Amino acid sequence: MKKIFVILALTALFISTAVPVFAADISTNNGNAQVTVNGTYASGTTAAEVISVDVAWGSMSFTYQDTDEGKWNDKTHSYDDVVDAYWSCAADANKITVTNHSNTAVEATLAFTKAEGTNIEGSFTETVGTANDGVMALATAEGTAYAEAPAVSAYFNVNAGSITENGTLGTITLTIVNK
Amino acid sequence: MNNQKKLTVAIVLLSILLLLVILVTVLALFLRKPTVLPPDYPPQDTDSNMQPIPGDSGGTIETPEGGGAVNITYADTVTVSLSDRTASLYYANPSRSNQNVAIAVMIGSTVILRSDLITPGNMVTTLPLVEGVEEQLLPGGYQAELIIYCYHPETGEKAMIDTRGTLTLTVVESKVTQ
Repeated sequence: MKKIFVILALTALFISTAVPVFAADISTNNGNAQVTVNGTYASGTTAAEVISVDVAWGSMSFTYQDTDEGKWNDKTHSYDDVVDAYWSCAADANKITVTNHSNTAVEATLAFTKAEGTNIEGSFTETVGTANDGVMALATAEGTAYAEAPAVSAYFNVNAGSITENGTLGTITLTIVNK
Repeated sequence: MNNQKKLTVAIVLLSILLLLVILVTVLALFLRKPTVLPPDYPPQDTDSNMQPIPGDSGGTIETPEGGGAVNITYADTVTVSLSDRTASLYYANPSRSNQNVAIAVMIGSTVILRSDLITPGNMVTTLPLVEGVEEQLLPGGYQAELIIYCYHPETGEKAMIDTRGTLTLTVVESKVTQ
């Protein structure tokens, strides 16, 4: 009985001392022990693309100054101090700024649609690039500080058309596409 | 006499057929679903699915005088469950915005989803499908468009600027449980 117990105890001891051998391969080279270190790969997750852009705009309030015909000059048979009709707005009232906080580059495109029953025509002047086509390319915000996020501004200009009473001129649509 | 009987049977059958045709016509005219019309005015209520954005960091966006500013944050994928008639999405209006927003998701000219107002500091992750639209969708992928309308929080006046983004919309029969 004692013998059986001793055999079992020795077997258990042998097995337990053998366990660490599974962790690494040990070989000898000129008397030096070499241990192979193994690594196990666990796949990570890919961050989903999240679009995050700040859009800031001015009051978008425009004034149409109709033609001032001036005064009749009977000596020259013409009008003095004539002022042609024009559109105006306060400083930065027509400014649109897009700031990209996304983990992807985006393209922001501006387009103007006149209100029904008006003849207003508008265009955009961008602060970056010379195309002035309303297309603003913004790089990814990856690797930039929050305050240094890629930003582009554009100004909306009323180029043509007139109004005879106060009202809505139209709508600006900003289309964002991740690139 | 035999011919007379045949004629009577034919008349009865034709009468029944005529009644059936009239019944079907009446049902088609009076029991059809009404067409959903888009509202002309901004939504008045905050969206019932709206919830606070966890860890919203606050802050402000530099805004020209008299203007507005909004941060638009969204995931470009949406999943629609036909069995639940709901969509899983992510749209956030962080507290640094100074505008209320309402969003719509469209496939072509069909409105699939529409929210009520989402106030700054809040987000939506679920929206119900527009009534009846589930009958027009099949399981699979669609290219969709997200439209964001901004409204002044005090006057309710709609901003002159609308924003649009592209989405990939996936339709499934039932919600996938994890």
